[in-house]
Amino acid sequence: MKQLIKKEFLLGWKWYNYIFFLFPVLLLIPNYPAFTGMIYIFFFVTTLFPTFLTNNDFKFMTGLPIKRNDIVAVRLFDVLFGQLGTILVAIPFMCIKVFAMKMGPSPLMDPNFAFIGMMMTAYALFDVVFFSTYFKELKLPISMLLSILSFMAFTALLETLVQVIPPFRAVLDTFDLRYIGWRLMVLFVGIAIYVGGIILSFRLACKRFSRYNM
Amino acid sequence: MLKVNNLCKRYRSFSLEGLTFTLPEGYILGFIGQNGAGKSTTIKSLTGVNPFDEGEVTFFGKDFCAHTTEILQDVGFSAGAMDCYPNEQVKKIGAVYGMFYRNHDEEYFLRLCRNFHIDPEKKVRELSQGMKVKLGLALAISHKPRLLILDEPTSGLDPVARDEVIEILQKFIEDGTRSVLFSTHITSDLEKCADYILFIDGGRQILFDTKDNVIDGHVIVRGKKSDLTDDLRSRLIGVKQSPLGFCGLMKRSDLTDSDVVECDVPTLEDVMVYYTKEEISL
Repeated sequence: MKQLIKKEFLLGWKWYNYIFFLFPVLLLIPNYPAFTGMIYIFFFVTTLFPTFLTNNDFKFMTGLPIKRNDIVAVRLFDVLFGQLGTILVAIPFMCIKVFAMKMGPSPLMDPNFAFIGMMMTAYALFDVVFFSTYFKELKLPISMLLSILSFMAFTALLETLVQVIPPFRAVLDTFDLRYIGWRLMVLFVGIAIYVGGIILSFRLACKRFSRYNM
Repeated sequence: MLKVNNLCKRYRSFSLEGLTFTLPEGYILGFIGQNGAGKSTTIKSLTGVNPFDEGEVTFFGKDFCAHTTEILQDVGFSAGAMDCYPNEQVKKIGAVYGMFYRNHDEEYFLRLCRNFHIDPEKKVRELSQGMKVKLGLALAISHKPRLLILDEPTSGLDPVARDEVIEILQKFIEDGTRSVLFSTHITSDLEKCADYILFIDGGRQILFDTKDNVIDGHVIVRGKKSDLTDDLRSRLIGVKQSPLGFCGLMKRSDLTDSDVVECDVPTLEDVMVYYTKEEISL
């Protein structure tokens, strides 16, 4: 597995893939919804996976002393690396936006703990949809379309729920320290769902990939 | 070295059934069959690319299903021209490929490249088709495997490049401890180097024997149209007819003294063609 990850960085990841980690800079734009800095995680999939296909990466791995499940695991790693990297890069920009630039409330959700938790839930959905469909027949366009659409719709739904349900809005869409416990709870639930999503994505993808004939 | 017993792999539209053969140390097994016969299906099953449905496969005395990754450490695999990551340098591809093998020898890989006249500084896309095939071989050999499995390594190559590939394979088995399983539909390549022949058609095994037994066990018979009696026809594996006469293949053991025919030694291509095409009328 270690070798496969190394291979991904040596052959798969190109300089332009790392540029997508800079999308959280969008958080610094005044009066710009915070989620716009976090939703572009699908660019890792839309640029990396076609690279693997056009470079015959599956053929490259043919005959190597690796398990089939390792192929699923390393592709999952690529996406998780992009998602977690985006969150890690976003955190300092959120702090700058809130504490240094003192921009005040954002349109839609404020970039707080609950926001990160909610984005992680949406990332989990993206992973489950993408990996369970992609490893069924390795048809990239369909998987990308389904996962991006479901991810965007789910993010919009979460944002809407927070805005239209007053108690949610009061507790989650704020930096009010009185409700920090609730926001931390949403964060931890989001992390738990994300971890569950990774496990589910891996299991579904492995099961479907085991039936796929290359 | 390699034992395959009753290997079966079933797809919706094609099935490979009951493949049984062995490959001892120090020999080259030529795996023949026309396009779509099931050669690549077999090779994919033997390299763990696609799991097989039934049967037993043993490499070096170990069960393949139970020890897949351990076995693949001692197997080199190449599926023709190396066309992966065309924008990367040959030496980088070699280094990345080598990370997966405990016996990989970077110096040996670079030496193989030099011997095969491949410039390691070149990008993969800058290599000719023949060079790409040789790069695939260099990668497959660079971890010093005990068994080399090659899927149609010579197809699409000119005769000189094909001859070079065959020479590489012969040198590979020279020390008597290593073997090669080599699929192709270019039977003339196997005339030069194969010790054993495995012949499949439509997913079924037609023949498995030493090359000499395959050739010596068959005979090409020719005669006038009037000499092609029903009895003779029933013993022919395949026949081609023309207004002038007929030409067919039969097992040498089926030939009798009463047959009024002209006999000839078949080539592997004759064997393959006559088994595959039962009758051709001209």
